[in-house]
Amino acid sequence: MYHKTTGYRVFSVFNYLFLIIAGLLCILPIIHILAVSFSASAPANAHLVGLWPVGFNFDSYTKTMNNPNFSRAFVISLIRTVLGTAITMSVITLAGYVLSKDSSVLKSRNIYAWYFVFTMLFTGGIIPSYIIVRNLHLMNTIWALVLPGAVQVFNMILLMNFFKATPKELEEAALIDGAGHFTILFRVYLPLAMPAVATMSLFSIVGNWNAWFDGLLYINNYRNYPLATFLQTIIVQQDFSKLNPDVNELKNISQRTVKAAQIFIGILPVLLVYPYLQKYFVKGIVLGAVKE
Amino acid sequence: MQFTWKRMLGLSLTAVLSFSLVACSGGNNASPNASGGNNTQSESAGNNSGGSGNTSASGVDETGWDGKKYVEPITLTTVKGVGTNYFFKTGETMENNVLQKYMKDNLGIDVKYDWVVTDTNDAYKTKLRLMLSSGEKMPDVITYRGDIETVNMLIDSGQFMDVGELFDKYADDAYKQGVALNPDTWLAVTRDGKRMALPVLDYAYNGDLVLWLRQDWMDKLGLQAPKTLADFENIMDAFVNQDPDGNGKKDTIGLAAGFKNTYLNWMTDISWVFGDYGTLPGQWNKAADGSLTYGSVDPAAKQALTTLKTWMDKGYLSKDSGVLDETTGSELFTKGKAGAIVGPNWMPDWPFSDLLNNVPGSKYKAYPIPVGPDGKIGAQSGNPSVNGWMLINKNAKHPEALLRYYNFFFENWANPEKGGIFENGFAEGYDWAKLPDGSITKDPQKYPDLFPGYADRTKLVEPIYYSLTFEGARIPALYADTMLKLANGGTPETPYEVQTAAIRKPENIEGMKIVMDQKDIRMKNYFQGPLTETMKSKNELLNKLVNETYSKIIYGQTPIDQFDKMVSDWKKSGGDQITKEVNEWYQSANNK
Repeated sequence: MYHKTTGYRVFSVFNYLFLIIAGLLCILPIIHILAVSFSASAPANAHLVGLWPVGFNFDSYTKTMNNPNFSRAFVISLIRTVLGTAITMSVITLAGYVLSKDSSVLKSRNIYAWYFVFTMLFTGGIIPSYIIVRNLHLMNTIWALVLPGAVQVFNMILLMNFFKATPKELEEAALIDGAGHFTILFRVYLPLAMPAVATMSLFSIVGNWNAWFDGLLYINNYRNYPLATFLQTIIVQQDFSKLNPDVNELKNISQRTVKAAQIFIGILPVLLVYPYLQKYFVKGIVLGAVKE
Repeated sequence: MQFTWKRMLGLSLTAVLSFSLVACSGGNNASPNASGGNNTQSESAGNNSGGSGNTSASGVDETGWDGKKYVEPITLTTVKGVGTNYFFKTGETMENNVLQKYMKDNLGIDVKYDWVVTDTNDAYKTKLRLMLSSGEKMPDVITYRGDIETVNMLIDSGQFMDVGELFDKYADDAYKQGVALNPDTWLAVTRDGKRMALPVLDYAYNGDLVLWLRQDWMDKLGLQAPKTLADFENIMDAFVNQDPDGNGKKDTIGLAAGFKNTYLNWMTDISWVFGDYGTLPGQWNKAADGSLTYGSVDPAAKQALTTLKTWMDKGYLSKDSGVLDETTGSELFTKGKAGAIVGPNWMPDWPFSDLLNNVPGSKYKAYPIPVGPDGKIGAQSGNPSVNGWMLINKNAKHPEALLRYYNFFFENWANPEKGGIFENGFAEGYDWAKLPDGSITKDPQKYPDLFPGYADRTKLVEPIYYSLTFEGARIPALYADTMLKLANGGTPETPYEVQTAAIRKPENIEGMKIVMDQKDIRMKNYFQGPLTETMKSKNELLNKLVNETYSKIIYGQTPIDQFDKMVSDWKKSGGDQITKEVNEWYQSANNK
């Protein structure tokens, strides 16, 4: 009967209000972008579009779809995301599994663990990373985008703790049945860790999809940019202090609607993937398999 | 021995090649090419003081140049920031396009790109600086347009050569004249008397400011052209209080301004109000005693701030002005909320086209900057005729090739002759096409058949922007002179004049005439040197101090006398030291 008290009702009202406002804050910008993308360019450029399109048309989407650079960037981003997520997940799962064993099983475990943690605390910075990527001849390849960030140490540690928290008895039972490490990892630990794996995959997908700076650094031809880098280079204001514009240039400036369309198409894949992964991390974590 | 053999071989090779060229030019090349070639030849015979002195057809100088092209094609490496005005036909890229091919075929210069980025959000600058700090090898040529600090960093890297001699020896007359137009051209890149970078020339006066007013509002309210600041205040008062847009609401303001980043803007400018009291903020002006002083801390700025505060109080300025920049500030004008805006002559093409779409029946007109209460007047001198720098690697095999490349555009492109190769644009089917009746069109949307291979027909593909020198070449005085001629009712004759007349709007032409009429009000920024030592460490802090105090005064958050405290703070926190350094630089630069 606790939910009938006045205090609880007041709390509920505020709770719902707060969540509604937070929800609106997230969704309104997207609706605005959507409205701009369907608007005519003159009102969009004068900031006259709010949440409803002014002068409805599909021009900006047609233009975006006809832009070969956009579609190429989109495909590159897709490949990068799939490849990057696959690499990241395999690497952190394997490392997480090994490090979840204690020193009696894995000798010098702590040294290995510190080796990873050290890179979390201290990074070389842009220039050393750039030099390494260049000297490994990764420049201008998709590997320059997926390899440098492949080991997500923080996620790896989360996964390691997840494995650690999994009851030892399950592993022992598997060992008695004659399983090796790979079987234990893939047949015992990973199925139990699905919520964690799904969450980390989502992090990795979003991270790979949104990363733009590495594209700028490591890709020497703008035609091979991933989508985020491509978008980052177009969604900016023109700097006129730099140029003496001529008439034809000036006519090309007003593209706010096209930019909005490109942004929207750009966030679409993540919006689509999210609901499918979300069900994993709302579920409970480990269901009881061991009775003590 | 070896040397003479090589030379003999070279000469005979050239002879064979030039014969074959003559033989080919009839059948292989289109006829306009051939006639264009003849033009260049006759011109360069006179111009080319640096050539071997032989007739251009057969003489090959020590760099392998026969007066028209490199006999053995050479390669020039560079890096590129692709601007937002670069559009390509399907299948063409920065590395492989019509201009690239033309320059290779006709000049024997093959440009190779180490990397290409889209040059927005300072991506080009970021990559360049990364190259510098990671010690990467620099390409033969680097062209840079933007902040002078990056140019200084490049010069200071020591990887680039003194280009003074090259310029004197190889530069075309038009280039030399353009550089001579502004006696300070080299100052910014001179180190110990050595000229370390070549200037990229651009149209002069194109960034100078005029006052744009909503003419339909002026007519409706029966207002006269403003001569003084007081007149202008009356106009703004009418714009605010007499409901010029006739919607029955008091929702209009006087002047569209935006001073989020600076008080010296290229559009939505406010610095001219300071000019009306005798100073310009954010730049180094000349004081009565001949020394340089910083405009933002000049006592005259205090008077200007007082005026701006009353404007803000009376609603002449938008309350948002302090958080708007040039582009967002101009939106006040294009959505029909503000009646005045100060900006360059080209605004009719952008952003005023948006105004006409948003407010049907709106009209705008250019006026001179009003005069201040004591008869003083001043406005920024816009962009100088230099709009970028080109650096040449010390180890470049053909350092003179860049000048030859640039010369070619000065001779053939900058002011093309009637019947010349570039009379109508760079290449047929790219930036122009001929209609069946013989007239020229530049409209790929209307004539898709004449412009094949376009991905996006709303944008004209202009191959000239792919050039190593940004826009081929521009003769600084040409634009203003042509506009003036047209404003005074002259008939367009040369291809350049015909094109200008065809694409410029009447309000634009009129605006440019006003720019030229009032060119005496320009106040130059006398400091053109590299950042001084104290500037490097203190500029950010000092700018913040100035901008914050300015905003607070204009918004009435602090009394106007806070200005005096700001000035003394400015001086104490490095301003005095900077003033000393700037004046030292000015002395030394002028004594040279």
